[in-house]
Amino acid sequence: MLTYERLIAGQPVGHVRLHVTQAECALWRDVFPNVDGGGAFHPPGLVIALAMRGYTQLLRERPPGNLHAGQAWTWGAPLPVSETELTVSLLCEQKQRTQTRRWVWFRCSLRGDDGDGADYLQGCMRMAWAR
Amino acid sequence: MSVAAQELPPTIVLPPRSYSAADVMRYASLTDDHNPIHTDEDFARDSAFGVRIVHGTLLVAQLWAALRTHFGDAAFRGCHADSRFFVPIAVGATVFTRGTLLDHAASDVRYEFITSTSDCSMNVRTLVSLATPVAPQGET
Repeated sequence: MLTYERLIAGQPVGHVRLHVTQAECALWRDVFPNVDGGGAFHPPGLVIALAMRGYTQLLRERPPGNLHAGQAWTWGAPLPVSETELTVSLLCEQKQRTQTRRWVWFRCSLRGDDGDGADYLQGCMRMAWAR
Repeated sequence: MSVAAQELPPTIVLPPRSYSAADVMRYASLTDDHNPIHTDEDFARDSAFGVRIVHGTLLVAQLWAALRTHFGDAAFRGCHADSRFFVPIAVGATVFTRGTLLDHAASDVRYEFITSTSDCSMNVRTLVSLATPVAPQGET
């Protein structure tokens, strides 16, 4: 299990390639059926969900019960629906233990693998690590 | 394309909605985030919250959809959003989100959104800076 003690501040966690499928887009539309479909670009919320997919795949052994305490995202170019190959990169930016929590900050980016490798999303997430 | 300052909505009120257990399971599949605090009734019962809670990124996703509807895809290029999750929201609870225009400049528009389960709570606070050019008074 990837406990708080095993995370190293300042160290890259890694990269993972994502293949965006119709099935994943359908899951999104099922949750937001009337407000967020169509167009040449993926919805901004789906872009974040894909970044989260990369995060969870890179941190498979994280402890159960972690909490998402904060996030700051900056969107780049709109993600075309034709763009199906993406890369998520993750860095463990900072750690801080307080009396009640183990805080961990991760820096995350989502880029395209097709064409010029467009920058679609950059962000930082603050997690309360469970163990 | 720019918008006139007077066309900026002073408030943006999202329709109330709840996230069902099925919604949460779909989002867990999409993000591959099967943290039992979201997906496992027994685990959640023994947690500090006592019930399953909605993924934080799912709670604010409705907000991005609303902003996309109001301002279009172009406004998200360079858009910055900072969310603080103060109090988790239970699966099935009705969620209210209301945004207030804070200010606007020549190159961006800033809103504050409060997501809550009642009028007196603040579960999530999100500050959004949209890359929407605002035309000077009298120009559009």
